[in-house]
This record gives sequence, structure tokens and C-alpha cells, in this order.
Amino acid sequence: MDSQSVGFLSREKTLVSPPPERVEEAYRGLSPQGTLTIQCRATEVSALLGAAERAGFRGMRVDRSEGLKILAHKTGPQGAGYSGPAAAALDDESRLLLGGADPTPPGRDPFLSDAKRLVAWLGLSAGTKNRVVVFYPGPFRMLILKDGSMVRRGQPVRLPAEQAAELEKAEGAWVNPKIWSAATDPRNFGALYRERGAICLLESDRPADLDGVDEAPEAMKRRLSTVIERGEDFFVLTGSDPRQKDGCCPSNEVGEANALVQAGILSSSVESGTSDCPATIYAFAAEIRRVGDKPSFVRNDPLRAAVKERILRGPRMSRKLLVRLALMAIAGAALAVLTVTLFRQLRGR
Amino acid sequence: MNDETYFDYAAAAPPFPEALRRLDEVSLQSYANPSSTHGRGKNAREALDRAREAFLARLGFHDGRLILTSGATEANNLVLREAMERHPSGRLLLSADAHPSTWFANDLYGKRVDILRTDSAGRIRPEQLEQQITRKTVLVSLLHGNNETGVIQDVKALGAVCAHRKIPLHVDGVQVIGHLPVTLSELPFASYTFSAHKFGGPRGVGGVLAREVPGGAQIQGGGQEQGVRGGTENLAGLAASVVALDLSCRSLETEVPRLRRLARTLIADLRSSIPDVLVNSDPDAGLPGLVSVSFPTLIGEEIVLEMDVRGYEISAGSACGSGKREPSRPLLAMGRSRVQALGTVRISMGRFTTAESVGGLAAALRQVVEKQKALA
Repeated sequence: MDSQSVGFLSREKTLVSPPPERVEEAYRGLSPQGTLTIQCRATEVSALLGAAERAGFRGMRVDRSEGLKILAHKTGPQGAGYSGPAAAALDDESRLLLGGADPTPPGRDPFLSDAKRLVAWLGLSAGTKNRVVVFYPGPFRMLILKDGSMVRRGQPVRLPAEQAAELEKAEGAWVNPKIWSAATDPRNFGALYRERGAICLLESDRPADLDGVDEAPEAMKRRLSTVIERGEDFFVLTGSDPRQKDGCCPSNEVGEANALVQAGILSSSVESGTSDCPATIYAFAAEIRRVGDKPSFVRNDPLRAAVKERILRGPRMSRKLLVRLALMAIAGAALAVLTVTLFRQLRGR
Repeated sequence: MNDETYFDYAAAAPPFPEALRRLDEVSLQSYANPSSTHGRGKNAREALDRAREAFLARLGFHDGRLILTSGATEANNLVLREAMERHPSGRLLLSADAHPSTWFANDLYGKRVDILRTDSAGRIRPEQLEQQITRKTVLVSLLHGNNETGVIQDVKALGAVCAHRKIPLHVDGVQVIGHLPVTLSELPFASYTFSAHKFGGPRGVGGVLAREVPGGAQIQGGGQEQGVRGGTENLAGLAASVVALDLSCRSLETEVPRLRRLARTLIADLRSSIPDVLVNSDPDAGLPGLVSVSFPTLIGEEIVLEMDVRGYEISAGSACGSGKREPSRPLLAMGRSRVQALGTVRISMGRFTTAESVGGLAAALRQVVEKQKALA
């Protein structure tokens, strides 16, 4: 009850092309003012930025001055505003910073109303001609341009040359970087907002792998159903992931919930700061934000509906299942041919 | 931050602003080292002596002295280690509901420690103590008020047994000082420990109230505190603690019955809305405003986190050890099962707690328990 934890945490740590779980470990081992440097290849940037975001790092920036690296901080800028050329920026604490607006006073959370205001501000599309590849290195998680284009940190997109030049000048964006020649057109906030609501700002581009629901044990499926049916924001589990080497109080439920986080179905936030077993909040993907020292939740209704449907209807023909069936069919056919051949040979004797 | 929704006074009470002002004042005025022989040093020494006397007087302790430490954990370590080192073949009789700051001795001196049993109400009966004291017992250590269940031990009766058997009694009084009226001179103990942050004083101030100065030091060098605890004395901290103790003690006449009323209301509310709740604390005979309740099959930490999200700060009774969740030892000692003990939370109230905030807490707790039962 009155137990205490004593931590000896480092201020700086460097990892070279680490697997994503090492990023989370590094987060736990850093002091509150600590910085993680991740040296990596261009193809790894997106996944490692995602891992660093999930671990809780703030104000991340991709740097190319001495090889490619990601700089990730445990504490982000407090009360920051946004004054660049974009209509708004989303920071790593999921605060929507409207261009030119004053920073939000502590304790207030205008996320939903600001997202609505932002949609009303958006202008016409900047067109599709003369597009060039643009890489936004950070420190914000995302910029929402005046035509609604969503430019995510670490994910190259194709933008009109004029917009690209503006971002290069004001935000240090990289235009036509040699290491990223392939890029997609950005998604549009206005269109996504009308379809999915404000949650579209918080969702990752990687869609949830609903096969993860099928693979979850029945008890976990019941838990997810109850959360959806009761309209709960979140659930809590205590204990550590059995896959974690130095974890105390291993809990299978935590392992199952973390598998759903990996599948992009749930999101999580480790809350306990003591040496006791960690207590973790789980909500559906992208739903957890932090307002001050407390978690806050934005309902991901489209995902909840999809998960509910999946639990009710059971697995559909997923790619994994199709591959499995195809392999079984091939194996079956091979066995049949073998049996017939053997039978004929035996009769021939 | 809303002080009314803070229900973890037993872990740390909000400091009195008057005490913190005194801390500032004394830090700025009497900064000299009390061990220095120059004028300012002598002034600091005098201020320290005055603060010490005022503290002892407030507790009605006229036949002993105060050894300043950084808190009760250090104070308890000092007493237990000194006794065990002074008597290498002696045995410690340690109460089953001991706080970790004395329970450490069970891990450290294992084979030389006997566990003093509590009954199903969490109390130590004098005849039980009498029975468990052996010829080799060199110290009896117990909690005056249990930090998890609020159970208060009859120190007078237990001390009489120890005195009769000529065994020194150590009492961990952390939860009692500033929360219940006590006249320490009337209690037959050898040493009594406290922490100032539990009654609205600053952190880092605690001590041993001792009838005899212990023979050995755990922190050496400097020779302060009559050679028992080296290190420059925390004069400002003690002066601030005197103010906090004074304010706490002066409010006891009204605060004790008020907190007991609030605890009764909360328990009645929880019993009516959550029929299977188990109440581990006694609102009338235990520590004022401390309520311990168990929700079998649930996990205390998960309730605590859910309550925190809803804006209420409470605490749980289990801890992690040896790769699994360990239920509260005091509750197990009272006969609660592992499943019952794991689902335990502690709600502790204090001067900012109101009837409205207790009502809000009860409603939130009911919602959380319903939710967790549905999800279990």
C-alpha cells in the first residue's frame, strides 16, 4: 500500500535498427527528460516512429544530418501552440493545435469542438497537378494543410509543388528526397471527418487487422463485447505481458490484450508509476488521449461497430484463412494422388 | 486538482500552508548548522531545542526524547536493527500486520523473528502476546494504528505485558500521531515512531520518541542526535512539523467525530448498493475516516485506476512479489481469503473531505465495481 519504487534511469539511449518492442523497453528505462536516438534505414522509419508513438514518446523528429535517425523525447513541449503555414497540427499528446490560436489552458479539452471548427475552415483542394514527394520529419505527429491534406510525420506524400515549397521553407520538410521516391496522395481530413468523425485524426494509416479478434480467446471476446455494449470507454488489466523478459506478475490476459494492440484493434496506456505490477488502460485503437495527467477518450465508433460485427458473425474468409484452406486443399490433392498411385501399383503386382 | 476528491490521507496528508510558511521562515532565518559554535549556529541549536521541546510537549511525552530522522521508515529501521545487532542471538516478536518498514526484519533476520498473531478483528490480544514472548525475545514491535485496516491496538495493555516481562516495546505510531488524541507519557513503550507528512507536516521529517537512547547508530558520522543518527538536523522541517502537529491536534475534537460520521455514511452507502462488499475496518473504533473494503473476485489496483480516471484518489492493498500479485498481509492475518484480499481498496479521509465528496466517491465506486464485475 505504501510501497515505493526507486529508479535509476538514463537520460540518453541509442538504438540501431531495433525491433519495435525494444523501443518500448527503452521508454521504460529513460528518465522523464530522457531522449532516445534510433539509427535506422529509410524503410524502417515508419514502423519505428509508430512504435515510438505507441510507447509514449513525444516531439519526435527524423534527422538526416549524420545518417538517418529518429530523435524521440519522453517529455514534449508543454502548452505549445502552432503558427506555421498549415491549418492545424496534431502533437504527440493528441492535442489539436489550430494555426494562430492561443494554446489551450490546462484542464480544458476542446479536441472535438476544434476538430469541428477545423472542418469549417478548410478550403478547396490544391489540385493534382505538378505534384512532388514531400517528407515531413516532425516534430508534430501530423499537419493538416489548408485544403485538408493530412501530412503525417515520417510518411512521404505527394503534394502540389507550391504547397511543398511552403512546407520546406517553414517546416523543414524534405522535398523529393532521394531515399523516398515512392509516395501516396495524402488523405483528406474534410472527407474523412464526414465519414468517421474526429477519430480520423487519431487513427493510424494502418487499418486494424480484424483477424486478431478471431484469434482472441473467448473470454477476451466477451470482454470486448461488454465494453462495446455497455458503452464503456476502456478497461483495465494489471500484470505484465508474459513475453516481457523483466516483467513481474505475468498475466495471460495482458498478453492477449497486447496482441490486440499489435493488431491495431486496441490501444493501451501503462498507468502505474511504481515498482508494483503495471496497471494498463486498454481502449479501442486511437481512443486514448491524455489531458493533463489523466487519460481522456474519443470514441472510435466505426472500429467498435466492425469489432462487434466480427465477434457476432465470426471469421470471414480472411487472407490467412484462404491461404490455410488452399494449403490444405493442395495437401489433400497430393495425398489423393499418392494413394491412387500406390493402389494402382499394388494392383499391378 | 480538487482536494475534496483526495481520499489517500493515510499515504500522505495535504500539508498545512501554515506549516510550509514556517518551513520557509526557519529555512531563511536559521540556516546555520546547529553544530557550529558561532552565534548563528548557537541560535540554530536553540531553535532546534525549542522545536524539539514543543513537539514533545504537544504529544504529552515528558519522560523521553526525540531522535530526529528522515521519516518513519528510517526510524523503524534504526530501532529494529539496533536491537537485533545488539543482541545477536535475541529474537524479535513482530506483529503479523506490520508495515513494510518493520516487516523488512522478517526478510533480513528471518530465523530470529517470531510473528505475533492478530485475531479475526485484526487485534493483538494481551494473552496472545504473553504467550508468544519467549526467554529469547529482545524486542516486541507492533503498529499502533494499522495503515490498511485502521485497526487500533491497545498499546496500554500490550505495553503492560511487555513491561511485566521486561521486554522493550516498539510501537510504529505513524497513523496515530495527529489523528487521535494521545498522551505518550501514559503509554508504556520503549520507542514510538512517526512521520510528519502523515499529519500535514513536510516530507522528510520523522523520528523516534524514545525513553532510552538506543545504543548504536545506523547512520554514522557527525555524532548528531546523541550519536544515534549522524547528519545535520532538519531544523526547519521539525519547526514546520510542530505547527502541523499543533493544528492537527487542535482540530481533533471536531475532526475525529466528523470523520467517523463520514466513514459510517460511506460504509452504509456501499453496503446498500454493493451487497457482497466486505468491510474490513471499524468506523467507530478504528482510525478516524479510514475505510477498507474488499470486493471478492475483483482486483484492487484495477479499481484504484478506474477511480483515478473518474477523479478520485484511493489506494489498494496488494503488491507485486516473487512474480505474482501478493494480497495484503494484514488482511490475510485477519482471516480474509486471497481472493477477498486481492480485491481490497483503502479510502482514507481528512480535513478536506466533505459529505458531498463522500457521496460522489460512493457513486463512482459503485459504477466501477458494477463495470468490473460485468467485465470479469
